[in-house]
Amino acid sequence: MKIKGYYLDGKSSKRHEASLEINSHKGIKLYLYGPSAEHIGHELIMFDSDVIKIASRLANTAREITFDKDQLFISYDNEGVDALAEKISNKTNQGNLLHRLESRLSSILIATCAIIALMYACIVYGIPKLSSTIADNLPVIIEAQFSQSLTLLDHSVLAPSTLSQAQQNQLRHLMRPYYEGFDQLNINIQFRSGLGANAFALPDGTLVFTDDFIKLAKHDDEIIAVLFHEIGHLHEKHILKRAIQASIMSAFILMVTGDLETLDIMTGLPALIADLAYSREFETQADQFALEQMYLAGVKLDSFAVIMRRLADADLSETDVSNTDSEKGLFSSIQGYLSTHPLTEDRVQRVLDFKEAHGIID
Amino acid sequence: MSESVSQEQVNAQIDTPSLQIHSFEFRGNGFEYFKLWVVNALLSIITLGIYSAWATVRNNRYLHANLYLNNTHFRYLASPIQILKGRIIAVVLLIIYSVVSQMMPVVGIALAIALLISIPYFINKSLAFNRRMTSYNNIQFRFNATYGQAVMALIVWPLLGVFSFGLLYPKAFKEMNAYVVNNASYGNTPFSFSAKTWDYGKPFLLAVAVILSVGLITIVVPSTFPELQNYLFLIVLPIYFALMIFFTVTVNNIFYKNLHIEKHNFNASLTMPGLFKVMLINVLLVIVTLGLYLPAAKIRMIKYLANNISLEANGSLENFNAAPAQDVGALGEEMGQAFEFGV
Repeated sequence: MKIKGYYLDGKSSKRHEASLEINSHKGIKLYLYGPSAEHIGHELIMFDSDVIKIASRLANTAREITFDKDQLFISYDNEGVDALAEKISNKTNQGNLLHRLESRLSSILIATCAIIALMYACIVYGIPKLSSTIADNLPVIIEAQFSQSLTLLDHSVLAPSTLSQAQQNQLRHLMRPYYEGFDQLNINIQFRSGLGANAFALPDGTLVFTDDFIKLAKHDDEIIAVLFHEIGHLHEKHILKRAIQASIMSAFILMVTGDLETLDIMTGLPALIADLAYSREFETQADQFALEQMYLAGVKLDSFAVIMRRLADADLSETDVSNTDSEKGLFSSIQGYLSTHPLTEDRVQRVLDFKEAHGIID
Repeated sequence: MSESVSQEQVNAQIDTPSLQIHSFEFRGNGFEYFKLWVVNALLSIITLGIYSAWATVRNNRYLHANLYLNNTHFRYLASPIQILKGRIIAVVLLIIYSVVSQMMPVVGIALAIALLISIPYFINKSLAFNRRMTSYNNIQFRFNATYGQAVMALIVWPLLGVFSFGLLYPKAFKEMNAYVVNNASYGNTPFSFSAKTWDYGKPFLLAVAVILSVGLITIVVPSTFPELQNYLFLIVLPIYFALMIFFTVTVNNIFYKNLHIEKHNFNASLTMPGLFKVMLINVLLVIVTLGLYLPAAKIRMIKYLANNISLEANGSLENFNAAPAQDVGALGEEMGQAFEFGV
């Protein structure tokens, strides 16, 4: 049985038509066909079995048999090469197990379902759980590294507050009783201008309120509602968790897709959607935390719904507590999936649900 | 590089001056690649990432073996163990780096500086590894650049681009591509690159003009029509994507049109509508299938690129010779593998 193919000598790029067959010593007999003698074995080369390497089968790509000194034989006769490999090595070619897995419909279906299930489990349960565990066990030194962020913001998007020192002190005085219980968070209240009506927490315990936000809030309880929401982020270590989740997610995608080049816009997209989903989950947790704390401190729960509406009406996107759902119509349905924050309607509903669960009737 | 050998070949071929155009072609298909990919991805997850080295090799073997030029396919030669070693080194170094920089910040800074200094070296090694692991007609590709060349192309020129407020970016682009091409060879025959700075300057100026006019729109529109402010992204986003596609198309076309080996010339004819269609279909199908379409999307992109890149052969392609066997120090090789930068 002869296997047809090409032979390359490893020195030049010239291809020679060739065929090969097994010889009596489990080596290989290779016939070269020159242009002048197309139908007869023009030249004969013998190879011992110990210099022969047969590549594992890969779909229906051309099969390579390499010999010493970079010599190469290429054939499309995969069945023929499989048979030859078995005869030479006296055992079934181990690479063919993979080929069978990669070509049988049943194993493909099982692998596809398993991948979907594993990906889902990892993204929905595994990665959040893992990053929580890491965030809760991270030494304090690493967290301290994040504390430079306010300085950075001051140099870029924030400016000193236009509120007078007396106003600032008055606001701090208002908030102090509500955050005193959270000693271990090192809470430090700051006022700045810029970034619209907004409030946000930095991982070192700094809470920043913008001037526009203070102006927007019509009642002290509304400021306390947002204060508790931000304390909720700190208490649950959300910023740290989000950073850890993002890096685990990239490593995970890298592992599944198997190369760096794929990590572009295509794989960036699922990662981004997962990140947004995680972000909304954190906002929901912070809302829940705020409502519980407001309930315990005896602050009117409706203030939470009121300030959320005010922020939404102020129509500022991309900020921490505000979100835009004023654009009804085409974008509103996809917005739920492509937003860092839950929709305001959902947040208002949460207040109603919370009240119902705790038996509060106005 | 033995110039004399290629000169002899040139002389030998003058007798047969035949110009032939060979297009690259990709003969694999998306479903076939998906089958390999999904089985290997599952094995990678089950083995906690260890098998990913084998998966990478099988995927790369498939992609190379189906890429044809003049009826001959490419080959991917790396062994999974080489890839695995590289990845283990990368992970170990990363852990050492993060532990050390937590415990001793000063040593951490020193390590970061050391890494910065060695990046050009690693990129050289990484390019050398990837070229050497690719062969065509049983002749391996090669890449051989000095540390100085890498520093100039990868650090000095891009920095000059930044400090000149972008004026020198076209030059930096040209230098980077020239570094990648001029230091590469097929066997012992070097590639050459003939692009001029102005080739990059023209599309660059066009892009700057577009960006400036879009910037102007985003400033003028909100002040005159405040109610349109929320719909500005409907203009800005498409222009952003159009620019991205424009750059991919132009940079690739310039690259291949100026790529030569001996007297054989490469050519490319990517178009914006062509690339846009491929990307749009890919993005939509990847979203609809929650990522399962990724391998097939990769194949569609490769097929499009291959169909639009060709080689104008001036005479026979059978006279290339292999470069002498090269024993790069195993460590350098694996470091290059570990820090596989996508150049």
